[in-house]
Amino acid sequence: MLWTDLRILIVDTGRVWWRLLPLIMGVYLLGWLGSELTLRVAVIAGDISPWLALVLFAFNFVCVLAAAIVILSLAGRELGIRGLLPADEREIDDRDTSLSRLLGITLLPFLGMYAAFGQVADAANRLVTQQWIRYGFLSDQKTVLGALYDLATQHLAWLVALLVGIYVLRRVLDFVAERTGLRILGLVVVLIESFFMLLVIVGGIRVLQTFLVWLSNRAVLQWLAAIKNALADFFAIFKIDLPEILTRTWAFIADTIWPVLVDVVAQPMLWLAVAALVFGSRVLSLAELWRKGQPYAARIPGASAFAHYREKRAFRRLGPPPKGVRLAAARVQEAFFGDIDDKYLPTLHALRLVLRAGPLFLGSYIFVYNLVIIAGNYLEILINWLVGGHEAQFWVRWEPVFALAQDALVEPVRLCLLAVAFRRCLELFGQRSAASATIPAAHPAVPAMATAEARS
Amino acid sequence: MLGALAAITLVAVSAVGLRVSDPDEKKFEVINGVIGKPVKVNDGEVTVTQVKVGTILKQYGEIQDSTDGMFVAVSVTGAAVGPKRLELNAARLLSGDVRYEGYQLSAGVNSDPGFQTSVDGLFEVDPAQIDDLTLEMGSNEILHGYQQRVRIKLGVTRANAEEWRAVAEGVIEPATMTTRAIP
Repeated sequence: MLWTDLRILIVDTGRVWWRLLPLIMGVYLLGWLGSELTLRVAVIAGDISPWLALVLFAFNFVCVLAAAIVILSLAGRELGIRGLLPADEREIDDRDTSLSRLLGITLLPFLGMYAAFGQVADAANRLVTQQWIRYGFLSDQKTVLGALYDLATQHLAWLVALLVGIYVLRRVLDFVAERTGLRILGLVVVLIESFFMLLVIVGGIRVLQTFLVWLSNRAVLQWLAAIKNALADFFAIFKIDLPEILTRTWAFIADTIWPVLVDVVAQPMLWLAVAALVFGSRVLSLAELWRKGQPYAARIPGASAFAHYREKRAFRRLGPPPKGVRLAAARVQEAFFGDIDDKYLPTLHALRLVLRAGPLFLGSYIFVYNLVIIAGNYLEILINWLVGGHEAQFWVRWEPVFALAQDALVEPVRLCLLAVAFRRCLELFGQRSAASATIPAAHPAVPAMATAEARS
Repeated sequence: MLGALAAITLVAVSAVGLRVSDPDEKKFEVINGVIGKPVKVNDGEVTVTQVKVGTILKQYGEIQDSTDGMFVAVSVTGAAVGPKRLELNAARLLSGDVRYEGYQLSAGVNSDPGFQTSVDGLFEVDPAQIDDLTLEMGSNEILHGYQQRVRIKLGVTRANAEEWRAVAEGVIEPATMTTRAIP
């Protein structure tokens, strides 16, 4: 079984990648070109205003993410994934025929993942670096970093007001987009969200630093230090070096456990969950669940085709939406939870779906996913070895080309693997559904309706 | 149970693979050299000509400092033989996993095209940890990339380390920086 999963993931990924190579490479290169162009234009626009640079740079993410989503969609179509989705798990819409619809639905969760794994911060660093190169480190020209530094340290209230204003604008546009069905608004919402995230990441770090400096001068920290010393003295009586134990424990968690959890396990799992959205897996909103009067954890179990019969019945027994004050309260909750819905809940729900594939498949998938990343790492080492060591000016000029050579080979393979892995998930679910459908038939104690539910 | 064990094993193998292949661990090209011979780096040449040791530091005709450890002064000449300026402003001594940063700011060398600069880079080291003492030089840049670092062994080995420690008792007087045209 282990070898079956490994073989399917490796061989089918290679096949899909090879079959679609010209197409996905073309899409990837278009995305890269768009991303590089927006970076250059944003840097030049910085001559006029650092804020204009930041606004234009938001397009960078749309280019990169749109290319990834289109490649995933192509791979999914090649593998016939939509046909494998159970009828009540499949989202019925025009995402297969309309690119703008597909992007409108999936860009925000993708952007959420990019931000969660530090890729938005990396992109922001590229913009800052390019501005440094253009103006020099000691120039009077105001850069994005300089403008945000001033705002965060001297006009913090303005920064907070700006963030709140952008957030409200995005939510309003989101609402209008949902009501009117205007697809272009979906893209505008993503651009605003990109700008918002850039602002939070680049400006937020300054606010955090200011806060930490302020905190370091507070008496409460001295009290905590005194408590820590007292505890250390107490444990020293029993010849226990508490500070040393805490330092070592923290170092073990920070240097070993956390990187394994985030890089090795969480990234592959969450990317697979996000990919599920492109293929049209059903997604429920947190506000929708809340409005129906039950807590999220209790409500979600019956929502999927793969849920137990008991959970499905509970799911269908729900009453109509609330009225009056409760409805108003629900609307407020919807507005509050809407942001989580848009960016993270679809992914979390899809993750729940993926986790049901079983440990053996998940272990195989994590292994193959990391093989792709490891191959990318060695490709970078090989390129470095071939090109040799050079000064910073050389890398500033040529790094985008070498990064393209590496990413153009690795990224499409990674995306094809996501599609193959999701199809394998569906196959495993299908096999289990078929197996569980035969069990009730041979078991007279189970009601007849349960058999019908299991088949669905 | 077996499935979970297999999954954990695969995750563990993945973690090891990611750690071993991390390109950030191999972020520079090492160019090895030996004392007395010029080494090409960044379109220039670096030569270590002499290594002096002592415990009392004398500069500008006055005793400046003393140490319970050992001062090491490495005479380095950097020549910008190419069309670009040679900038090797980061210098340190290595002994196994131990790193000794420069005792003073001027441990590195910078030269304009057509010129060579000689400097005695000064380091304070632990006499007990000087096996395979090696000078490492590179450019100290804010923007990173895959850069070159030159490593020149200074002739201090496990076998002769005791002799170096023995001759370290006394005054050390590093030469001041000089720049002249490449002959």
